Amino acid sequence: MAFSADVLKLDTKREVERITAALRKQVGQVLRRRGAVIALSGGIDSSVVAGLCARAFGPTKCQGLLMPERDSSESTLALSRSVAESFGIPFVLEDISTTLDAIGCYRRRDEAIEQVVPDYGPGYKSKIVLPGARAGADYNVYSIVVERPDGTIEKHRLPLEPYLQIVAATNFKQRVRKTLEYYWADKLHYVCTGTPNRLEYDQGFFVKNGDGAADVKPIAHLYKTQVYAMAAELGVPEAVRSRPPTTDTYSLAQGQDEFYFALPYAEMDLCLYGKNNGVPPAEVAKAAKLTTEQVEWVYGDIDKKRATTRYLHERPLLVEKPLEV
Amino acid sequence: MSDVEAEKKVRAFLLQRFPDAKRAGDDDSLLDMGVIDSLGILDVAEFLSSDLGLKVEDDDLVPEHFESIAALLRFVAARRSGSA
Repeated sequence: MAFSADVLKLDTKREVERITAALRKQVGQVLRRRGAVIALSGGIDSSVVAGLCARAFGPTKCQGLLMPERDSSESTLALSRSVAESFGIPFVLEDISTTLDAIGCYRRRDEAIEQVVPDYGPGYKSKIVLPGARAGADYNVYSIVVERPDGTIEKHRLPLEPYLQIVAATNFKQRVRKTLEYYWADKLHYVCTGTPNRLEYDQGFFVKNGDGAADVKPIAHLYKTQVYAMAAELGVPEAVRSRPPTTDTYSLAQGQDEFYFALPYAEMDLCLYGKNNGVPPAEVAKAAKLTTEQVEWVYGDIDKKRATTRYLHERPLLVEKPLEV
Repeated sequence: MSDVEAEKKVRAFLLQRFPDAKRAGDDDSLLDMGVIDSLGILDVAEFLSSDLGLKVEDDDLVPEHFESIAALLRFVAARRSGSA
């Protein structure tokens, strides 16, 4: 049988049962907590996790957090609120802009951008991008895209130091959010949920001790295509299901595929599935409407990202493990 | 700086910044061996610029110039002589 997107089809009813049973056991018996905190971004992953937690524990044992900041898109707040409301989950709004300002997130980021675009300042917008599979670039070297107040757009390759400083500064966003999530988790004696899908988990698309920190990660085994199927099953609002995946981290709109993944998620899922299951690139190429060379490039890129992000998955390394713990 | 000195500097930089480079022969792929990644390429490009005074353009960031120690040394020699 020819390889096709059907490999990602899922019995969603059964999967909901399986995950909610696992969550109840993990949270109630292993971690011994009373419920779950979910940071709602208005994206598909956190919405599905919210729906799963509401089913697993009941909505009143869930706490939704809405944590927009200055660079969040205008739709973020309304979408995340609609998710909490549709599942009946209580939620609080914690705008993190002031905290990020105080800790120097925006200033440090802008100072780094100014090293590349000296006139960068108020009214400018920016994002960082990768070339991606279609460009067939040899190296994953980031560029910064800047939009001036007059609408003109410039793109520059990022030298190492400003690149690292931009990433370090923007990572404050995920880490401040996680700090607040754990405040609420501690206060309510709940667990903190992590919302990576399989692509994100596998390819290291998370901030260590930021969105990568969690007590449970209930959808880390699901391809993004399957997360969308679960969203339909759980009744995630249509506006969330039809929103293209975004990082919602930079002031210019930024798709996840231009920031990190080599391809849009549907094609990326097929490549990752194909690679994980030993499917020849030529077969994946037909199903994903790519060239064989592009799929070979993505297979290589998957390995590169696994290697470079292994550090993110590592626990702190000990010289000697105390056997009593 | 002579070509020999420039080559010495490049080799010393690689060993100091990427200790696994000592495992690599001159023609081995530094990326395939996991000695260096994309960030490392940027690191090398900055070294060429700051320590050897060579201008590295976006179009220069290709395997032809950065894949191996030998490729890098060829690129440095060519750029220093003005032929690349």
